[in-house]
Amino acid sequence: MKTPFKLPSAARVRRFAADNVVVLIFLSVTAIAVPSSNLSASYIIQDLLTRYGRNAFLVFSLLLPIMAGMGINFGMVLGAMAGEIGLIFAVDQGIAGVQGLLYAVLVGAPIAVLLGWIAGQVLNRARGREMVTGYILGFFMDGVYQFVVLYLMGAIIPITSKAITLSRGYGIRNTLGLDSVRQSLDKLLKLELGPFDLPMATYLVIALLALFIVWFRRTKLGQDMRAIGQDQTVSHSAGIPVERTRILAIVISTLLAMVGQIIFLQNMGNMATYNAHRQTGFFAAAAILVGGASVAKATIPNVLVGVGLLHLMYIVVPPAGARLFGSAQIGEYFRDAMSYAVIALALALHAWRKRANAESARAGLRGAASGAVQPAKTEGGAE
Amino acid sequence: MSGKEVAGAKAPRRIALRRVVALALVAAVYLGAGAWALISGKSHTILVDNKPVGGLEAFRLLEVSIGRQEPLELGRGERDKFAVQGQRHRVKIDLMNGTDPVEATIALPYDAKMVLLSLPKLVAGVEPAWEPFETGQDAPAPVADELPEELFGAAIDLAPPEAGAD
Amino acid sequence: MNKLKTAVADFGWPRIIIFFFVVALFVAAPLVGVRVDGALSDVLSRFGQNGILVLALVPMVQAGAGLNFGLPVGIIAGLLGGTLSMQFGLSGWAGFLGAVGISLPFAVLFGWAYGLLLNKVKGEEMTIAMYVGFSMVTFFAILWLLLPYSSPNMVWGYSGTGLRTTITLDGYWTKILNDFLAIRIGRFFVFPTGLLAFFAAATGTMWLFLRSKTGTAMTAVGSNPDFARAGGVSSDRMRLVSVVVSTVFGAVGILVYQQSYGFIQLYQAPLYMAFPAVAAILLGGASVNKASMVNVLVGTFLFQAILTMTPNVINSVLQTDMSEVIRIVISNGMIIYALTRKTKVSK
Repeated sequence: MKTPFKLPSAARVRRFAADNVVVLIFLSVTAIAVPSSNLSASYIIQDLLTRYGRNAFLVFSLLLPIMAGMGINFGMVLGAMAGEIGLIFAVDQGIAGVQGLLYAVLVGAPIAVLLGWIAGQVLNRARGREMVTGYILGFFMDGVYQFVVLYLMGAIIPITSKAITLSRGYGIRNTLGLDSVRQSLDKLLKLELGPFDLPMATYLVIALLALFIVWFRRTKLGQDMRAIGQDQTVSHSAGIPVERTRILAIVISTLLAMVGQIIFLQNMGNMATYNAHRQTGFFAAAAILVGGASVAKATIPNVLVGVGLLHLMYIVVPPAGARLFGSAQIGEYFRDAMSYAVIALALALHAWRKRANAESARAGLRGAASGAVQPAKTEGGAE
Repeated sequence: MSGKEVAGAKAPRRIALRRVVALALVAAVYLGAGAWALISGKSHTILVDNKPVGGLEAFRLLEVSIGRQEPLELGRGERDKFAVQGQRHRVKIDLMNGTDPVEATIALPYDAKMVLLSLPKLVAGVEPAWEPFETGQDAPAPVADELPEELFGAAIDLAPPEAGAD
Repeated sequence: MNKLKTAVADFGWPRIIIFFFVVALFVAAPLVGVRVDGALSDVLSRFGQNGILVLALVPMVQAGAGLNFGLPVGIIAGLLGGTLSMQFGLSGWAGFLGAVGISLPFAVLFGWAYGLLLNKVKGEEMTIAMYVGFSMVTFFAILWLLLPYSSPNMVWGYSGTGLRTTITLDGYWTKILNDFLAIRIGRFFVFPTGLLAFFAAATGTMWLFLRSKTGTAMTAVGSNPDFARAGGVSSDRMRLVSVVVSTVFGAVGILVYQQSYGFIQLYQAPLYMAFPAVAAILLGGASVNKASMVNVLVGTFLFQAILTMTPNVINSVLQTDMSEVIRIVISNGMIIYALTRKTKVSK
């Protein structure tokens, strides 16, 4: 009963290419860079394995807001900040090991919920431009974070350890050593497979998160989110509390970003107190888009493919740049330029398609009911 | 907006009850996990000390281990340290003279950052064998503090940077 | 009373609070030993220094293409003009005007391509603009290293290739506008006549442009696209024009900024330059789809006053440098406020 093997038609190839142009561009650049980087396969694989553990969780935190039609949650950096505050307390109180990480999560959780709730409220007032608003919200909260960590900690918020306080007596130092919790999750269950070290406990946590997301999609709340992602007006008339559900999507995303940032930092082993979160949203967004996700649709495979591809490029491009142009700096600029361009391109392609669809729909509408008045703009969506 | 009201007002009592139970469960897990992390995760430094103290002789050579950590070898008058987590620890001392290793359990107070554990006292059964150890300064000498990089950096800087030095 | 209320609601509480904050800073300055005339002089020169970059945002807002977070596209064109002019050995007025002249074709070209892209993504311009700007800046960071610049004043000394991160304009056109006909009053106050005259000329040009046939058509497209279409105005074309004009003003704006600053900053420096400009115009009362010359002037002045005064005054009051925090919170708070305001239904 097998269908006879058929060569893919030119149209189908073109369609596939158009759907995956971001991935394809990225793949070809990386394919060129891998051999010219002169890195050994085992080095690249080991580095990729480490980076999966370090980054995948953070990227997963973007899934729910995309599902709820809110685009890429650049406001996830709020969660990252909450995680960092948790780690500051864990280090200050000398809670070490996995318990230190758990403690950081527990401290970060209420902060992340609060920040996520604020972000959700703000984004509900910025319908149609959630992404740029979330991005700026990250900047705004960066100021608040700096105020809390640089001025209040040690002054109003009790910090006991002098080792992490600035010499003026308040404020946390620019670099926070995370020796007490360094790689404690990665080392919890280490599997040596041939020449490779696999941080199984970290992978387990990531796998549990993936399962959670699979399960969550089937719950009532998950279904609501998907419905809202399809059409807010219809969902509202179907009795789904649109605003509340959107807020919940952001709260959960912020919580996950908080945990993700803690996992990320425990692997790094130290923390740039005031900068560690600034690139978080950018990396996560680039990863999920490189994985073939769009602003409106993202899946677990998108995350897994994207983390692998993005980080493969981050590993191989600087040495390739050094060999091809005699400057690793060029490679570093190149990978940043690529990541920014990928985000721009993916967002643009999505907007483009959406507009094309809307226009063809409108053309159809116009044909059916000629002279129909332009439908009123939805609340606050005009740009 | 309207969603909250709908959920709140029309929810039957059974769901309200379930919500309370769920909240209580979350709170219990949160507090339990917090307590576990705080107690068992608290790190202490134990200095193991093989010096004569209070009329007790130091040992010529010994091997000491705490919990499952790698044993350390101490000669006469030597001192080393273990980084541990939690407050109760099993200390094992092998005097390397053919006798059975001495085992003892010590319990530290929660807020002791660093304690000095005298091994001669421990072997002789003096209680407590440890004493708090104050370094006087728990921080390394403060290096020049760097302040965070500015968010918009050059974009809104008033003072010109150092002229294009290479 | 009601009128006052609507006026206040229209202007927005955040702006009123910030306005009084600035007034308070000026009142408090002499009390804590900060010289008001010196501070005012600083504010004026920074006002002229940053003004054109803020001005560059107006056309796109008017044409309904939103806040131009992709301003770095224009800035890059300006940087190309500046560095090429130096490379050709031009200095003084020839250097500055040469830089402007060289940057214009680049700005038009970049603006045109950037505008074509933005036309394809109506409704999502802002986020995409931001990332287009980011990728442009990082892409040009590669070019600064690779392009065959050779003037010894600009390239790294040891390798002889690749532009430095900061290039001094000393000996070229440092403060050429600032010092032109500058009036010094007392020890601390300098009125940067040339700079402000240039800014005034740029503002006047923009004002005239917006009242020209093209300018009114552009505004019509922004405020009511369907009506404009009915009137036979091509929305895409007008938006394209607005993006090109915005990019050209961005290019000129960065050149004015740098002559006042005294340095050309390359590589990552332009990455976030759009944000303070956006914050300034919003602070001046602009919204996401409406901006005027008054918004530019008031906003730039207020914003630069905050940037200049907070470090001085707050530091003397609190004995600590909180100005960075205040600056981040105010500028981004302003942007969020504007993005979350319900846009009025256009008639």
